[in-house]
Amino acid sequence: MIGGRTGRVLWASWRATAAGAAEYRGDMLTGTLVSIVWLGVSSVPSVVVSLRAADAGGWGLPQLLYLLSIWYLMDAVMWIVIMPNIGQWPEQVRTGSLDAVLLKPVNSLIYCSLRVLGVQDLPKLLLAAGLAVTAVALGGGPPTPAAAVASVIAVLCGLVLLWALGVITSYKVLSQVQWDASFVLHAALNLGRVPTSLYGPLFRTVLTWVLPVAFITTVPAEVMFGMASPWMAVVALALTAVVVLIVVVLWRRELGRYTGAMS
Amino acid sequence: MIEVDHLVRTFDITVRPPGLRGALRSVVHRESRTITAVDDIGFRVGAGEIVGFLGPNGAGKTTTLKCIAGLLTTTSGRVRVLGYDPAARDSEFLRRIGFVMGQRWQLHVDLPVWESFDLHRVIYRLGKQEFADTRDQLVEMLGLGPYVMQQARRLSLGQRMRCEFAAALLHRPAVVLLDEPTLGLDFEAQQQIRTFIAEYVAQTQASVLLTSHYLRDIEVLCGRVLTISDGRLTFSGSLAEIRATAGRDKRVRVRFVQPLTDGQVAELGALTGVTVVEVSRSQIVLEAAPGAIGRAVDTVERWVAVEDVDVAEQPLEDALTRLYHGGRP
Amino acid sequence: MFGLFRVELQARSTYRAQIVLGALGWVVPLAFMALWRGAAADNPVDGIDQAQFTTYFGVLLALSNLSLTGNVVFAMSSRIHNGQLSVMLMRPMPPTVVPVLESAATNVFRLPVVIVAVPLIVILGGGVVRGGVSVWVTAVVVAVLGAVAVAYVATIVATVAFWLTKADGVMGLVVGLEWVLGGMVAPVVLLPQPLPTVLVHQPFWFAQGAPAQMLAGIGDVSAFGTIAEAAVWVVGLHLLLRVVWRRALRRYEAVGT
Repeated sequence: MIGGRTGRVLWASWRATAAGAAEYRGDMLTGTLVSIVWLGVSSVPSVVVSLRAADAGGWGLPQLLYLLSIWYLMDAVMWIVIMPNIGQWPEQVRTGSLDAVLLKPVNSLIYCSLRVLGVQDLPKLLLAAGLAVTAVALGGGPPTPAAAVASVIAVLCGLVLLWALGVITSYKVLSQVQWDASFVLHAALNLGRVPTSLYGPLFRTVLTWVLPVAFITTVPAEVMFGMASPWMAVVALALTAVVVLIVVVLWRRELGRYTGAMS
Repeated sequence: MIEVDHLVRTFDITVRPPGLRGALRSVVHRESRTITAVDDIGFRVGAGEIVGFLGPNGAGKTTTLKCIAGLLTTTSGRVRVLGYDPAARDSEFLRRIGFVMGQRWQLHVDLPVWESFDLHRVIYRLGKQEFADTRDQLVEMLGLGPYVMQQARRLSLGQRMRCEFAAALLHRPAVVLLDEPTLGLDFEAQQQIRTFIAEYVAQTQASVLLTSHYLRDIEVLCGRVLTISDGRLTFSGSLAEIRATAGRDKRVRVRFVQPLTDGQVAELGALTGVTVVEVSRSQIVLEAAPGAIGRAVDTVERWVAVEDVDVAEQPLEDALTRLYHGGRP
Repeated sequence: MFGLFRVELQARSTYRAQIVLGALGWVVPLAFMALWRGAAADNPVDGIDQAQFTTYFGVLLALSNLSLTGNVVFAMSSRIHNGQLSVMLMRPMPPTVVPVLESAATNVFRLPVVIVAVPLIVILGGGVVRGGVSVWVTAVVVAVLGAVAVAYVATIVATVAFWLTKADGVMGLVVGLEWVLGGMVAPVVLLPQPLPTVLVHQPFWFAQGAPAQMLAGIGDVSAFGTIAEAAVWVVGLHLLLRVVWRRALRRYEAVGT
């Protein structure tokens, strides 16, 4: 779906936004500091739970922190890629500024959803990686190398699933600007802060097979610590392929109904 | 290059009673109705032509342009641009059209304009030398040199509009759609844009469809004019044809030292072949048949000292207004 | 002001589906509810059982979805940045009130969903409310006073945008702090000392943690003392905002087209 040419356009576009963001150095610095504070705040529940209880449903501190690192990575991608692009669709449709984007000779889905980078949040990626390594080390490492590889594959699938969920919850604004369901995306990701296995059975099912939150955060963490089989990475790959296909079909159909700003 | 046949475009819009009660009622019960923005229009624009597309606000001009660009699909009818169906959004089609939308910005606000141009090079797959030649030419034609290295957000409206023009034409499109391109610009900037458009078309033989509320844009640039009103085409032809059908009556402006009385104005309007258009303390504007001009001026001179008399063709606005309301020019 | 509130209500009725469906869009308390219920599955945590955690985070779910902080902070700072504040400054009413009224108008549409859904969630999760009508009344009074105080804090923080061109990062900090200080991540009584002793004397706790603890029967929250403290904070923050706002306006750079 992302050919070489589209990749080159994306890269040029990201370089351009990075150059533009350098104008706001003050905010980049404060943004990085705030990211560190946010990571600390997000860690508090897991740390306090570990201080007050043996574990939470079988999830000890290392497992919770590793899940948190995956969640934090997804949150970073949310602010680096999804909010600066998909998050702007309703406003761009209202003002008509999406017209200029749709007129470019590039794959419209890719260009509309990925062309801008929230550069000030890039340091979050490093923080997430640092937390992940620390958590895995705290937990004594993965049981097998296959578990580690499978966990990484599952994380990559999670990233694509997050993007797909972003498109699915917002694509309707092309024709009906008030149908902005992006809060579903934010809600889904927030529910993924904790293992989905801690939710009740009905909620757990919804968060696995309807909104694939489990495959975005919980499954990669379970695989890393041997709480789930590495073969779950294959399931994640298959699910991701299906969801991406659905996204492409929905986007093409909705583009045909695009109304934009009326003048 | 642009072929439009029986184009129809409708929109469904929500209808809501006014006031707080109506707003709260609409939360549970919503009504909608269908509006026909473009109602069965057809026309052609050939290579090297600049065609003006005129109409009152809400007539369907921008909707038509967006159907031609492929941003909107048609409800019914056929649109072909350079042989392509715009709604198919073929990337080769998109590489060959340019669309300038007045005050809708394409340039990256935080980047120097030069950098935004370079991004266009990558997006439109332009060769480096080819791009550099075109860019330099556009910079010179539009006078962008002094500020092309500045961030777009720091430019004045006129400067930014010129940069947007350049950005829209860097890939040398064969079809150019201009939606109110001189909107909000000062007089000098408007002139520069007009000169530039004329030169661009002369060089490239591009087809241009231009909408504008500034008649000067149309008078200077357009060999042919289409008018649209309530979604329907009401005229297709030259400006000269519009002027010619406006009749032989002239517009006479008489300036005087002392104001005329109401009785004198009424007497003037009662003269055969004379209609009073506008009156103020220092002048009167009349519509007069060629034979009645002298009689009207003599009459005014009998009453007050006349400072100046100006005789001109009927303003184009009057004929266009008739067209906008669906009448003949 | 009521006129503006009425207009905001009308404007939001256009996006009814979005607002109603998103009424419980802020679900972080649900996640932490699951975590702490998991922790208390075998034994209560420091005397707090699963039912109490359910009630505590259920109340936080309601309060956080009706919170004004996020909108006040971000709406104010974006208006300062894009120059829209200029229009608001021309009106004969304090511009600081506008984002508060906007949030309140949105909450009118959220409230029915919250009132129905949250008790349902609490009941389904096995939660119970400890105490009678007086506890409810006290909790509501404390929550309202706390919300007003937090709105003042949010507005004061938003004035940072007069000094920083893009201040989204700083705004995010306030929301983050609200989590810990308001008891969103854990009831403050569970945090390591001396945090519980300190954190029960600030607006974020009055706005969220205090009413949640009261209704869940967690810790010993003094009704009169808490209300009095919250009222003192409201007065003090009001005076501080006046000073800060005057200074900030002098720095205002009327940008935008």
